[in-house]
Amino acid sequence: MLKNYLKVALRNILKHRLFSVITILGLSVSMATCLLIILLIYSQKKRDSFHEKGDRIVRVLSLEDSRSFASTPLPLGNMLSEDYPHLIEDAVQIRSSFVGGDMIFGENRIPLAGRYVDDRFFAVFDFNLIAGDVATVLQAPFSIVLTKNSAEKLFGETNPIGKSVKLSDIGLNTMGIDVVLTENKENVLGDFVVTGITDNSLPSHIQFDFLISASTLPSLVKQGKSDITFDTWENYFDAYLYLVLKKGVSEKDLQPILNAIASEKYTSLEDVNITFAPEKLSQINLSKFHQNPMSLRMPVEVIYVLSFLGIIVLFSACFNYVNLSFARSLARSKEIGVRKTMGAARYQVFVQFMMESILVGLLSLAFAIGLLQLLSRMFLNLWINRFLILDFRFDIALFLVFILFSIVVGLMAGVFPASFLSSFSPIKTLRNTKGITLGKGKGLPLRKGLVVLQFCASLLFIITTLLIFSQLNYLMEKEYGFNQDHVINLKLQGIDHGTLADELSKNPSIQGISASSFVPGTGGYSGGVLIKNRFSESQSDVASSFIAIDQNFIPNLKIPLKAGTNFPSSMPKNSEEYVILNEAAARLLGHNEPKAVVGETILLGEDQIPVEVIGLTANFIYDLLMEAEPTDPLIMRYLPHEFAYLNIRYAPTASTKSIISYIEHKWKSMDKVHSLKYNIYEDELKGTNAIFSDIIYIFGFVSFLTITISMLGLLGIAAFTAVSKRKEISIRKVHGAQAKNITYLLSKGFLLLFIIAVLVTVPLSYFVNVLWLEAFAYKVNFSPWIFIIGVGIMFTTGFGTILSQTLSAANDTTSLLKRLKEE
Amino acid sequence: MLLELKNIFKWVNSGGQRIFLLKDINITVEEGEFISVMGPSGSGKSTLLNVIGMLDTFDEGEYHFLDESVHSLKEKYRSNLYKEYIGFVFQSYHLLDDLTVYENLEMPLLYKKYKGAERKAMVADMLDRFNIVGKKDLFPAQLSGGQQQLVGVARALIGKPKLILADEPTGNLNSQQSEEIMGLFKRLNEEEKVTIIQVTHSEKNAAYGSRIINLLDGRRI
Repeated sequence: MLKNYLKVALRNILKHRLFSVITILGLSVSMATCLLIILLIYSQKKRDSFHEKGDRIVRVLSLEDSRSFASTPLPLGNMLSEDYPHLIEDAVQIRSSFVGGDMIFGENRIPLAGRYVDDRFFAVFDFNLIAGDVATVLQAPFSIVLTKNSAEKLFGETNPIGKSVKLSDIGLNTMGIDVVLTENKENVLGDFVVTGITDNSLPSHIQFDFLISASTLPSLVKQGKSDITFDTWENYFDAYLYLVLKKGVSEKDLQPILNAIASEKYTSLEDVNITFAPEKLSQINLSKFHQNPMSLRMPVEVIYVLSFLGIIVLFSACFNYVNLSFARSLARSKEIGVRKTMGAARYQVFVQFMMESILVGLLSLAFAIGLLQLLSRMFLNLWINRFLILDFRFDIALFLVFILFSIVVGLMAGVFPASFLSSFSPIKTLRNTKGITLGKGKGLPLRKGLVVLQFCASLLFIITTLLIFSQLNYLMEKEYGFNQDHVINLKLQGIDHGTLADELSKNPSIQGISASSFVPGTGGYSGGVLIKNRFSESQSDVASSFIAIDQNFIPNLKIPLKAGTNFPSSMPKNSEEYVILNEAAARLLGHNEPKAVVGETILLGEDQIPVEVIGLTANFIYDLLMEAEPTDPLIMRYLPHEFAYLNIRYAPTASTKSIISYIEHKWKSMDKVHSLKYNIYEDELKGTNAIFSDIIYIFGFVSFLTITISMLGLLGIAAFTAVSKRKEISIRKVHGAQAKNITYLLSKGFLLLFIIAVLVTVPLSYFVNVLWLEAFAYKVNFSPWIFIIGVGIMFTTGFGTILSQTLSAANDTTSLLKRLKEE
Repeated sequence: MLLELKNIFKWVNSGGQRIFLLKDINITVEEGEFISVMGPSGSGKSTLLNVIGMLDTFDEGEYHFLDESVHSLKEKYRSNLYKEYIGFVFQSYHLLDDLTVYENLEMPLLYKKYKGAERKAMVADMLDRFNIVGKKDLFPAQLSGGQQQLVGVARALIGKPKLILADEPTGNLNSQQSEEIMGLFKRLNEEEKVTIIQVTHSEKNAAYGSRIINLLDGRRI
């Protein structure tokens, strides 16, 4: 029976090529998108699945009012494991701050990043310890465990165990993000003894190049090399706490204890009010985003959005299957009639058609897996994936998930057509003349509705893509309020800015050099500081961001000075006397006329250091453009120890390449270890909108898919309509209808559907898009042109598709007699 | 007695009027009969055949098939009944285009839940009997009309039905092919005691049967 069904199904697929190509093509591209999402979820789910006690490991979160943190106060770990041994079997704490910089062994010097962890680390987690003893490897101060990878890089063939390495800390991390160095000097931590080697190649949210025993920290604090704290309950950013629960204890049993601790510790405190909550290890890689994360991953919200897009595309493809099956029902009606006359029950015919759609699903899966290779490569090329660790390897379980998925898709696509087709009564289908009404009558509203839905989805995506695109263009063109042309920003990486600037200024093509703590507009941040008017006692505390700059910064970047002066060329190195504000900061201090702030003395920070405002600049955008507001206050301070970048302006006539090679040359003469890190300012600013190009890629792709799929469906339906109306066309022609009349007749039905779709989608897309657009202070106008262009694109592609079919039907020159006879 | 129709009425309502498709039909068919139903177009021949074949319902009257009262049976039992006892032959053959001759013959057996080996034997036997072994892997489109109808008859017979209903079985065939098919019916009727009811326009074909039922406007005359 099954064999017979499959045979018929396969022959049908081969015989009706247009139908099969349309449905399988549509289903396979949409399935490929869904497979990618499944892959994404699967790869996250798979992370940390190798820990033997995984199902008993929980991480403790700190919850604020609306935010949650992955970290907890340091004392919580000890308190829990000491006071509740009946619940907690083991616990490990990982310090949240990274330690990273150059690691030196002999001649070798490589930059690595890692963490301070408790000695229980390898007892709790099952990272494979290749060398070293699980119990003692991280016990003694100044013990270090290297990953296999970093050990090979640093030691080569030499056995690292027992060897001593030097490590300095410049705040390197494993997240792939450039940290803005607050301390610009290298902090030499000392000598560490390699006690173990671990293989951390299995995917985990805990990323490290090495691990250092947490017992090292007290010594570092004593030596003044660390200002880490140990026993404050107020600081919940310090450590990640992982607990292994006793067998039979669930994380719910932990909640009351955590509540009790939180209320004991925090009810008396005024400014800190947090609670704790456990999170299972299996949830870590798939839950919502927590602040102060251990490592970066695709936030679950993004997966939701992607899944939503994937499902829309998939539905669209399923609609095609439904629509075309209905349109084609006439062709199958005889078969159904014969089968029923020969004794087939309705359910048997139903099963047969379901089998057919499942087969189509499986065939599509085969193509989809091929497409997935392409698609996943495209996806991994997205900008965002520089920061994520994704493991797209296949395994059997994943493959089974894929198969199951394709069967579900087949069932979904097939259930409507199958129940419709199996309802045919044999007596009607076997009488030739009556069969014709079947194709037209039943299921028509459903088919029209599905076509309208496809139109709507396509139009919504086109409009959204166009809008995102114009927003990106707007951001790309937006003036920042300073001049970024012909500027190269160089990362100092610990080199003294004055010395390097002196060297570089010898090149006549270099017109100006300034120093700053971060580069405005690129996402850097130096921190915030409290500011206060000296004389207004009543004024409440206000905070402003600050940037450390030198005297050359304002003229070098051509930031307009509205009042007062720039920093004088000689500034006291050790005490802060002058600051420059932007207009927003002046307004924040209560000056409706910002210029009035010049000459005033304001108080800075908790310590209320009095400084004089000597200058006022226009507002310029210093935050990321997407996050910036026109009213962001900024204080420009002269703090040489905070300088982390040089801004090098070169003559427009000089070639960028030659300037870079000159800088490179000078850099090499001053720093033999670190490679030069620089960015061309203009490109860097454009690059900050990279997330937008990702979104455009994704939306553009999804729009392309939905349009293609719905156009394919339209093509199929138009073709079948033309075929099923052949008799009508012939009769009309006999009575003198022209080709254009016929074309109009065949197309007008679609026009109505199109108009309905436009009427529904235009307002819908407006409201949906305004939602996200509102989040931007700097945003493009939602111009009616976007709608007009979107509708125009839809109209052209849609009617192009329909006309290709209706025109050929209208111009069908086959003898009228033959057509009339054959019906 | 194989079947009995008692006072069968069937009508449709059209424009407020009741149009009778079958009017007061009484027929008794004994096993082994070969009956021809005749009458002009629209006289209700095919409707009568479909009612007998239980593919169509009627509005009034009684229908007994073997010991069952068809008029009071539920749809499901009715289809079991015709599945078991009745074979159909159509004017336009109604072979499934996507199936080979072999598969077309096998199809009814699938719905009767025969085991694979049994099916194989039954199909082979049928191919043999109809002398179409060499054509078993061909598709209907590759056969002549007469050959297609031969397969159609073979398919109707394969489930060993007591009754064959044939709706103008030779309507699409030339005279030589017609004679072959009618000859085949005759042999089946005489040698294997299969009861046959055929609808036909042709006096010549009707002559193959043992009895003629004439219809006009839904009535027996």
